[in-house]
Amino acid sequence: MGQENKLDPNIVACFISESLELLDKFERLMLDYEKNISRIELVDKMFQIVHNIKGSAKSTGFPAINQLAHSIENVLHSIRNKKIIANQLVISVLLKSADFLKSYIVGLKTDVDFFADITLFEKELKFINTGNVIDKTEEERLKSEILQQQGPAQRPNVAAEPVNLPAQQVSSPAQQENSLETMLAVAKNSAKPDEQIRVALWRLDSLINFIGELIIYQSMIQERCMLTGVQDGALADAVSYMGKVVREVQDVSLGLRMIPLRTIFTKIKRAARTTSEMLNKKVNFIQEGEDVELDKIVVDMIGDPLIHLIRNALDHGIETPMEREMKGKKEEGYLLLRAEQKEGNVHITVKDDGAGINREKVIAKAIEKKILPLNRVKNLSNEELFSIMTHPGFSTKEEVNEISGRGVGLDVVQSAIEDLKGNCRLESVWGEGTTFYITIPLTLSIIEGMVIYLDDIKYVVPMGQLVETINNSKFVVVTSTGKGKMINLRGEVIPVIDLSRAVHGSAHNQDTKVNRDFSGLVISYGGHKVSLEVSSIVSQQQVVIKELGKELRDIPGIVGGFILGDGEPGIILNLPEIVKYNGHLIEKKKEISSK
Amino acid sequence: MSDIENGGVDNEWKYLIYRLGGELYGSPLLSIKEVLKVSKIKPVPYTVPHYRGIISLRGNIIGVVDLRIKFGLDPQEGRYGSSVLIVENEQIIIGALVDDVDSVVSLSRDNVDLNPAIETKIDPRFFIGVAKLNDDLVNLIDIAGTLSNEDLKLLSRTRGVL
Repeated sequence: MGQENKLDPNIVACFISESLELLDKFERLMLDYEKNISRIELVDKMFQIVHNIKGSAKSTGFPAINQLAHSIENVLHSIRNKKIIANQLVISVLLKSADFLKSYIVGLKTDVDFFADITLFEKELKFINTGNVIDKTEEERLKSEILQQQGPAQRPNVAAEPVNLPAQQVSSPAQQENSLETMLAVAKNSAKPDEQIRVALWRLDSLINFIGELIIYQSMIQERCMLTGVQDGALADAVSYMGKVVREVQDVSLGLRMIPLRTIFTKIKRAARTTSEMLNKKVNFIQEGEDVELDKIVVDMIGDPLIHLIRNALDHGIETPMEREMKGKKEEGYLLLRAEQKEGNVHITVKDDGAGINREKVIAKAIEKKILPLNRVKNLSNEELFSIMTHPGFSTKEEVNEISGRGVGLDVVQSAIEDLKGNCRLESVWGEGTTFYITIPLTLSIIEGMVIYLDDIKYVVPMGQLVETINNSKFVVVTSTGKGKMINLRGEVIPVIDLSRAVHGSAHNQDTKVNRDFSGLVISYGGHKVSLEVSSIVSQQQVVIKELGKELRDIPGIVGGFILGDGEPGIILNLPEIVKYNGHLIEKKKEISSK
Repeated sequence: MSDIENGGVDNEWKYLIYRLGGELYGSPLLSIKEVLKVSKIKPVPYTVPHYRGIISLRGNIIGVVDLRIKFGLDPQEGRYGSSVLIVENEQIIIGALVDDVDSVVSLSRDNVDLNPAIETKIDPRFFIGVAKLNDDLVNLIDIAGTLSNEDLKLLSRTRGVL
């Protein structure tokens, strides 16, 4: 507080976000480089990045960051000049230093006066840099740099920085100067603003919102034109052309929120690397589809569940090299993380060739934890296995360890995916490995929905929740003690729930005018299928999710609201939740209708 | 909470006067953002009976509370219109369904009785008083307060039903 530190908060904020982004990029490049250290161009790129950070740290007023970045730069420089070899140790130290820089900068976020001791990292970096030969020129370079740093009131900006440098290099030998100069030239190039701008998320959101409104009004006008049979052909044409443009604008606007999965893939790669190192397991970790783009919120939310699955695979799935050898498998395990976009969804696969899930162990544990009844001996289907394993608190690993944590497990993954309105299933073969298939929508603001009628009211249900739709009139509906309805669906007995009653209760006027087509929506609930009878199915379409008022949050059975093209609002239902609360809801409704 | 102190200048307060059944009600004009004529309100499952449902207002969804049912008036008797007052404060934006909007009036301190000894279903915290308006008596209520201080959910996930 008392410090005479007049840092412009705007510049600091800019420095923080920019540097963090650059450090992520650095990490990514380093991990790529580690795979193939002959790709010297990656070192150049990393050098540019660190150089950028160094420059802006200096001009913003963070000398410690400047100094540490400088040390990293020196190591990269030595790698570039083949003075040191980028072995495991060197790369680890560089990555650790970058991590440290990152946490330092994150610290600045909350407190501009945040200060961390960089000497340890300085020492390590110096050690690996001078590990081979003590390099005089480096020392001199460092000295002159420090001198410059201490110079009075000298705060060159980023662009001016490279211009200053050649002057100090007078003392360095000519051959070295050359390579350094080329690197600086590249660095200078990269200082050019890239073709992106940063926009506050709320601005984007309000833009997207307004465009959503625009679409509603445009379709209202269009519908009106059709209804009243406008005489003016030019007007009708203009309105319909406008519709096309507006929809294109919407497509573009929705794309604005999309970011590639790359950022979290890098994080996952890092996590996988540390985890396998810690466990002494050899793994060939393959990532595919890091360019797949998703809504920023989705990307932010899917990271932790994926890291969890990867750590699980490394810890519980893939065996130690010795075990693998005994089983006649390749010493090196195989772990795949793949993302692909299909229609409105992204499909993520996490596959390992490890031990697979021991179903007997799962059954025993489930009985012990009273998740399964005692008499359950039949083999478990993949769905049942998954629903047991996602039961809160279920974990088969005997001992608690640092990697997979305690108690919390797949249930956390499952609920995170549910929050994203996606779904997850698994396939596991004992001895051969486990695969998780995750499907999540590209965005949280639009869903692929099924428009249905319950009595005379329109609702939307998310397509992701449906297994299939059936025509209930083609089935014989049987009751049990005159109550529970059920049908035989291809040999499987599944309960039938009247969704109109579950949602409206018996109080609602059961409009006889409504055309009932006896459609059934089949969903999967707790590993079992349930058929929900609706009045009729209207269509399948993309629906923009609208936020509901505060007073409607946390009502079970409701995902959100929608406004269709006709301007009519409605409710998006959450079917599994309705099934879950069904009995209770009907009771509550009855209570009210009897009042 | 009441707007009575900051509702206007020099003992003059602007009020929107509206009808519910045969009765007249008034609420501070400042708390009412706009008045809409609404024909269709979509019901929302699992809410209390006086939560009539949702409407769309310029691309946003807004909930509507039926003041007649909320105040225990006969929901059918003599209903001759439906206007929705859009009420907004820091906590909530919500619609209030009333029969008809009558007028906007400026009341002075002299013709408002702040402590009338009458029986009412309105929460005393939000009952401002009774205004004498020509030959009529008007119930003055803090509509934003009364609408943002109740639970409209029939069931709540957070309360852990099951």
